[in-house]
Amino acid sequence: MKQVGIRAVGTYLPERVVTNLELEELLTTRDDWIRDNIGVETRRVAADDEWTSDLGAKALRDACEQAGVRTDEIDLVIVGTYTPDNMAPPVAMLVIEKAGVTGATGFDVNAGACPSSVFALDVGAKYVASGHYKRVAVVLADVNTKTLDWKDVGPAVIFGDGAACYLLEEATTGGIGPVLLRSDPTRYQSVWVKREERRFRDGRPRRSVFGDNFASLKGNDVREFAVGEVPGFIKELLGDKDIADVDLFALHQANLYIVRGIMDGLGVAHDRTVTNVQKYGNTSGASVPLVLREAVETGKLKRGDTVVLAAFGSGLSMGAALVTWCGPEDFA
Amino acid sequence: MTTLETLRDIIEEVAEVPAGGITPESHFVDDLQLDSLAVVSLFVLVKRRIGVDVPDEIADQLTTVGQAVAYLEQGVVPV
Repeated sequence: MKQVGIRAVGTYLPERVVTNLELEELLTTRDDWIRDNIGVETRRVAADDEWTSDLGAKALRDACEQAGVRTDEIDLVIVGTYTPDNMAPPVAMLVIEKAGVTGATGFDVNAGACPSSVFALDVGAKYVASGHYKRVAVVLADVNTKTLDWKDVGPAVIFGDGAACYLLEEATTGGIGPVLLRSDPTRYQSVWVKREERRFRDGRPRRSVFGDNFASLKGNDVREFAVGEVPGFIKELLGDKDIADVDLFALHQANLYIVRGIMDGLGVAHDRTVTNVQKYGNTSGASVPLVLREAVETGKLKRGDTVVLAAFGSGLSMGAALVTWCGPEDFA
Repeated sequence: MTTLETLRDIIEEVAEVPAGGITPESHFVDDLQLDSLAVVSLFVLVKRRIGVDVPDEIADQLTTVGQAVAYLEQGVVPV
């Protein structure tokens, strides 16, 4: 099997910034409650005509620019998403077309939403490791805000839209090490997209952009799961490796206080992680690669560093990967 | 509409609890199952409809519908 490295991380965030104060106008909520309980200050919201394929294609293009490769040099495109533009064909088809990834094969991976950043990464890495594909783009893209019922304040204050793309290739040194994936279907309804008819009190139908499908969550369930189980899951991934040797923890940005709770559960100082939930909200699958990109840009993640990627959420599922970060010289 | 009726209407909207089942003795958390976000929503709607701003430190002391009605009508937290 070949070693597989993350050669580049591309990102894209919609232009429109929505502040908590704007949500106060729209919803029955308050800025201080959101800051104190979720940690979100602003989020990005896709335009009415901007869909998952638009976000994903831009993130893929950005990854190619980062790596200095042409989009038509990619062999396989995997999109981790729960908000495809249409139920079929896979949104990967539109990403391929919009980004100009001529000749590539493509399909989607639906690992729930938030866990996709590790689940889809693992699928892509296995294709490179086996030698079936040479260069794989794993795109994480969701238009979370289009699943919202704006009368349901809980999900509405948490989510934002965004996309990211891992560009995977064979690495000569370093790369993606052990990966753990786990699911607990008994908590299927803890955070999910519920399909049901909803009505305003005057009887008019209430719909999300996805019709009768609505993001729904039980915040306490997710917090209990994440803070209670993710630290042990990460320690299981590390095995005999000393946690002190991990340079960075790139954690899913469910909620600022959940991220801090996981770091506390690991017994690790908060400065060994990077958070973006304050400015982007919970961007589901894109949140971990967005953290990685920011860590690279701010010098917190360098070639040779050890980084743990951990994502958790709808399923409930969780995935974690131990990665030795590659530099340009680690790719042939 | 009395203060109690207004509050019942707001709670019905926030928590989707039928207004008929809401009494002055109803406890926001134990009986009406309101979480902290729903309580925030309740007092945001109170401000919009009645014009009374209930500060957080006061809202924390109002645990039943009757206590909230008393505060909104008399401006003091009942003991």
